[in-house]
Amino acid sequence: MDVIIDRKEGEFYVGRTEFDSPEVDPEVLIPVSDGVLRTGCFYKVEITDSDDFDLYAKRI
Amino acid sequence: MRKNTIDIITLGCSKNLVDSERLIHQLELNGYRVTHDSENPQGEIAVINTCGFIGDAKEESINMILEFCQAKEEGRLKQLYVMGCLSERYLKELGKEIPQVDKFYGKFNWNELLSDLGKAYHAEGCYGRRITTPKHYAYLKISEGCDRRCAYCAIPIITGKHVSRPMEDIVAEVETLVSKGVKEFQIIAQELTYYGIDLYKRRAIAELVERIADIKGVKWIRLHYAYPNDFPLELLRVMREKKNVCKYLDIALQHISTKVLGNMRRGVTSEETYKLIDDIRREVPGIHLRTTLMVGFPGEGEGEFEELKEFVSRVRFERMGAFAYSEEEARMLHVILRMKCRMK
Repeated sequence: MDVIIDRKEGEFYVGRTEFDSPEVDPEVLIPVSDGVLRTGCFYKVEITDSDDFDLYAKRI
Repeated sequence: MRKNTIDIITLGCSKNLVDSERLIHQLELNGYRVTHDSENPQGEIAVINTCGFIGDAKEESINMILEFCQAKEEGRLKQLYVMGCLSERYLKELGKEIPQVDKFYGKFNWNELLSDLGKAYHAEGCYGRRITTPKHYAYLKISEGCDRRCAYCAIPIITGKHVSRPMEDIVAEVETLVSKGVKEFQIIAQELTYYGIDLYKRRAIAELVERIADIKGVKWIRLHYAYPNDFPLELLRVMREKKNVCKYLDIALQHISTKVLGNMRRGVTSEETYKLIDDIRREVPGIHLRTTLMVGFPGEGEGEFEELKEFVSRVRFERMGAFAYSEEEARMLHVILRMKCRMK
């Protein structure tokens, strides 16, 4: 699915899907170690895991 | 304390944030350096844009004002101004209780601050804003105020009647923001689905969203704060057909019991609510619904609460928030204020 990258935070890029509004909805965390992503750009990712609120993904 | 620098502190919702962004733009046009970081104030002047929605928000606003009053007393700040929903609602009381503030403004007359600072309001830049969100998304306020009279909500008292912005203005603002790199628009209003009734004598949200969707460079449009009563079904066609309209709708339903909805003066029944959800999901396949529900409203007994639980498990909202009813009382403000003043 597509995500837009909002920011980089620690070891993760933090993005959102079409189904998530900033501040209130879950975020998608993509490891920085997967490669460089640019804030404000869209990327295709695959969801790999989740915790109570957020999703984890890898770039595809 | 930096000279010619103003800190804008924004509390509350995204609609307030848009007001702050417009004020920042006006101040910058007048040559000020403006920062927007409550954790790290730097300026000789501070403006606090308050929230007056519920008890916790009011208390947060008052705490912030008192924190800056202390900074002023300690010589870390020269001038302190307060604007926004809290001061719109309690202008006189606040002025009397917190005289350390140089001036209180309401929600709509903040442009007077410019003349009080000896500066000019640039009418040609009235919708100009300095975006404080990440530069790829922006909140887009399409109207102000609310004509609904939900029993629990103080917003109409604070913001007044619904006033839609002309469609041409909104489209022009989107085009400007796109040229500055904004790709995603969070469309906001007190009551999204009422858009156009005052100005065009019809519900015009579908037409507005369609026009925004056709602007080159708009990648995502997200709709916030719809209302279930008299929902404009034409909007669902636009959401289905336009690829850049996110399959996401933020619609506050508050409850499902017809009795509680009646007490809340929501103008909608349980049956109508279930039907609307079915219509939305049928017309916009894959849509993610966000809603907020309120528990503990007067008149909600065990039976009504069970109805609400059944509703949640049947509908399975993709995103949901639940809140406890908050008694809206002017007296609460006075209690908080007196308590804080005594502590000082």
